[in-house]
Amino acid sequence: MTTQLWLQQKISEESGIDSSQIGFDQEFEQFRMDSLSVITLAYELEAFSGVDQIDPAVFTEFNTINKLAEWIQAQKK
Amino acid sequence: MDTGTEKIIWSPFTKGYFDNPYAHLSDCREQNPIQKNSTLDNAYFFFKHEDVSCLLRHPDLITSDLSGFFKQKEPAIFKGEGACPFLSKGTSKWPMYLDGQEHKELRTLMGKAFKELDIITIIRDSIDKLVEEYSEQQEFDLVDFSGFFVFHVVKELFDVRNFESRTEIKQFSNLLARSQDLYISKPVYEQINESFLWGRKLFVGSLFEQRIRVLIQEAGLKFTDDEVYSVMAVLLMASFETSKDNLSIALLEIMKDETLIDYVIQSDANQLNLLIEELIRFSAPLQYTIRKTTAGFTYKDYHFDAGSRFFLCLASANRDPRVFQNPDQIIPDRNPNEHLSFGYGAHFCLGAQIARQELRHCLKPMVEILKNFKPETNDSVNWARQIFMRTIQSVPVKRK
Repeated sequence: MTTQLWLQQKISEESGIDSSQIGFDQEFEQFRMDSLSVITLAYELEAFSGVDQIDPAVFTEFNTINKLAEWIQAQKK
Repeated sequence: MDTGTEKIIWSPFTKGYFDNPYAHLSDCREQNPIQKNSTLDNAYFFFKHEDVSCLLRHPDLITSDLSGFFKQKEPAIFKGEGACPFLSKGTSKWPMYLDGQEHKELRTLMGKAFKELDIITIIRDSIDKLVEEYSEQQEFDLVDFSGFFVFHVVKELFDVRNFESRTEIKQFSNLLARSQDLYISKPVYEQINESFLWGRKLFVGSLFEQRIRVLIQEAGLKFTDDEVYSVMAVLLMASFETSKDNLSIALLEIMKDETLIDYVIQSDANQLNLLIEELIRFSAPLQYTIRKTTAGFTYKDYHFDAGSRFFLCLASANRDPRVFQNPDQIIPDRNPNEHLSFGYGAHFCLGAQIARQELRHCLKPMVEILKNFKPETNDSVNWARQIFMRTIQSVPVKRK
């Protein structure tokens, strides 16, 4: 599964929004996730991606699925 | 106030933070000592001793409401899991998150919990068991070593004999402590919840439970069974976790320094007491505590809205060079030593005296064993990924 699809599915679980309504270039802010959801996403993203200690603040800095997936890719290099 | 566009911003995700947070905390203290945090809601961090010390005892501030936080978050944490939510109930009577009359009543009650026990004898017996267990060993884990001693003290204090193993108590205590931490994800909260539910059987029928129920009755309080359990759980967590962590970290520091080993072995009672305060300053596991504003609040020309949360960094305050000369060194006879490891004011640590007594009696015999050991490698210390409560997970040591 690609990082984009994984993020789409997880954001859907956390926000309750159907995954078909979650675009790869939509800003996370639109999904109205609280800090607990973002922390949980960051925690699970570590296990999925193998990138250690992901600061939940990256969800603010890289604020779309595409931007975050690109950041994850860069961390793996 | 600097909101973080230029100056350093506190983040436990800073490289190396969990191995050694003090370099980052020093940067925060010196460059941006009062700062807003953009990731956490309504959160401000304070790093200087004078600020932390003042805000800890400020009469207009209250503690944060951990149980209320869980009550609000439990539907999201356990969405579709079919679990029995117990985080809010389990933390409902934790005094560090209560204020006013309820806090006073609980403190009085908890202060009497171990009054009738001969704590010194319990500590000495536990040391005897430790010496018997470890004197002849060739290698062991320093955290297990500290945990072995604290477990035997706790076993007697809480009358949990023949119930559960050291490993289970250690995990229970650690997960309960982590319920207070920052950046905890839902899967970890689920683990903590399971541990809370598991722990309900720990005290059933124990002399400790009987004592607590009598004290509650004598105080004229009406607690549900879950509330009685909450009182017992926090006492066990506080007794086990902080003592084990403080000891592990302090002993590791002593092992690294031959002069400290000699100091401990040769010290008289007064010298030992001074070193104990210094170790408590230097190695205190509790790194932060929280206060909240109930109305608009002004401090040092800064204005904070009602509901602002103040994260007071005890670990940074304890290393503030304005108060402590050479703060990153253990100076055995440091005096005065105005550390904030036990907090300050109404919420001053209830277990402070027991913690000091444990150290008074265990340091010398422990160091007599440990002087013959050293960490297996220079980088063999495995620090837990915890923010509020600094914890070593393991340090293998071997005979020199």
